[in-house]
Amino acid sequence: MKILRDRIARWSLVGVLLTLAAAVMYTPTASAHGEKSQAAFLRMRTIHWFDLNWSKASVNVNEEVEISGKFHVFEGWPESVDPPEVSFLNIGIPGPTFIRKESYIGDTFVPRSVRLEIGNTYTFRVVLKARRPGEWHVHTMLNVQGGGPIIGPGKWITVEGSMSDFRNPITTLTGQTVDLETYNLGNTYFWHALWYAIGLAWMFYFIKNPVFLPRMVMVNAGRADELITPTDKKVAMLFGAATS
Amino acid sequence: MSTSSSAVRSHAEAVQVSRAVDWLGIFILFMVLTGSYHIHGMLTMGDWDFWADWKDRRLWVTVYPIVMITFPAAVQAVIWERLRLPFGATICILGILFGEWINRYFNFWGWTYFPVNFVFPTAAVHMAIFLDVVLMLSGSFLFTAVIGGLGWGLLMYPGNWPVIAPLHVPVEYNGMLMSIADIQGYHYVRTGTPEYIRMVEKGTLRTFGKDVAPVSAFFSGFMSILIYFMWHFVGRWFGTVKFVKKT
Repeated sequence: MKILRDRIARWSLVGVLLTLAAAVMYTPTASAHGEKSQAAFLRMRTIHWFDLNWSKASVNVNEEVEISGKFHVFEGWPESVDPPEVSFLNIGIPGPTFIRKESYIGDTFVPRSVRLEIGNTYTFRVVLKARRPGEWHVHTMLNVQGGGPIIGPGKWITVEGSMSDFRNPITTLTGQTVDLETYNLGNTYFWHALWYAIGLAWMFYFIKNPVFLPRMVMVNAGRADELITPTDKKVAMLFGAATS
Repeated sequence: MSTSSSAVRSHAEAVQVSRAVDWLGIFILFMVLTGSYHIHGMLTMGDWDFWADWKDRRLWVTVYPIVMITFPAAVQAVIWERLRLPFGATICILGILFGEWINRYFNFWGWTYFPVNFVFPTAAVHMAIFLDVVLMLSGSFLFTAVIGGLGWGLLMYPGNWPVIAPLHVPVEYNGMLMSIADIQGYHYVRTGTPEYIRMVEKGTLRTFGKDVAPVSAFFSGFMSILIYFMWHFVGRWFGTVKFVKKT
């Protein structure tokens, strides 16, 4: 009887574990963005986006996409939201799948925040350059200080190709043309690796000798001063000079 | 074996056990500091450390040293006082940089594809070694707070200059003067960090005798002295041994 009960218990457990494993391994793609998670008054009574146009639905890496259209700053702007005195024309994408090359409100280039007037209608244009292959829902967005992100309509854009082909050249005022994807990368790694090695060397100098128990015994016995030798101090001065 | 007899049977075994404790202790201390100091850093100086365009001459130079001298001060208070170990600040910084580089490379780059030349962390090993050396040579927490704290703040910008200088090269972009770091921030879209959040050189500091970085550095140095003093006591409080039973 006991053997039978044990067997039932064991196989029931196996069944439960198999069910759990099957549930965990099945992960359907999530395609909701939470656009409607914003409060209705925030979506409907702040910025009205209209006449939007996404120039392409499918591009290759390094190709450009332009999003243009208009937005109206609604007269019934909610009192609970700060007026759009500091606003930033942004793009809602999952990370830098595109890079933003240009953005304009009217004819003004707007890499910074701007002031918008309630009741006015503005034309805008954003030029993006495809960077990462995949299917991306690309939104317009306006970040308002004291109001948060006010997301506009989105459209699926497919990017094909390979991200390793992406280039982002910039010409500096010193006459150099550099690729922002890799510029200064080697220099960054070098200095960080050098400093990390120096830090490890400082630590290893002391942990090559006994670290915890013997030192604790000596400090408790009142012999703490013997733990730092004149050689240790010379080494310290060397490291101090090197880092300063 | 009872509590009154030794756990080891020979001197050689005692040495072996002591060394095993050393490696375990170092590993645990390193990992605990990596986690805790990292959380502290992210909640205080986070964005200034994440993004190249936030690495300015004002708030980065000011905020980073002040909030980051906390754990080094506390750890020094414990491991110098109890063990005369002069690497309290260094182990903190090596820990946080270890965690930060894993985060930047595998998450910022590997997951969200921000280029590493835009999201590298702040170099702080030189500041930590300076703080440890001052404590070791002076043997005084007060001296370390004043001279070490001031040096901690002053050394930050020059130590990071070799890394960030190439990003401050000017570019004329669509008729506007920007630095390469500014363009990185503009190009690589961050939906959660709208431009007006970017706390970069805000205020009138630039009109104060034109030199921004030295003013920020001295202010952060003086504030670091104060924070070192406060967090030394945090370290002492957490480093108490009064709960350890005397045998």
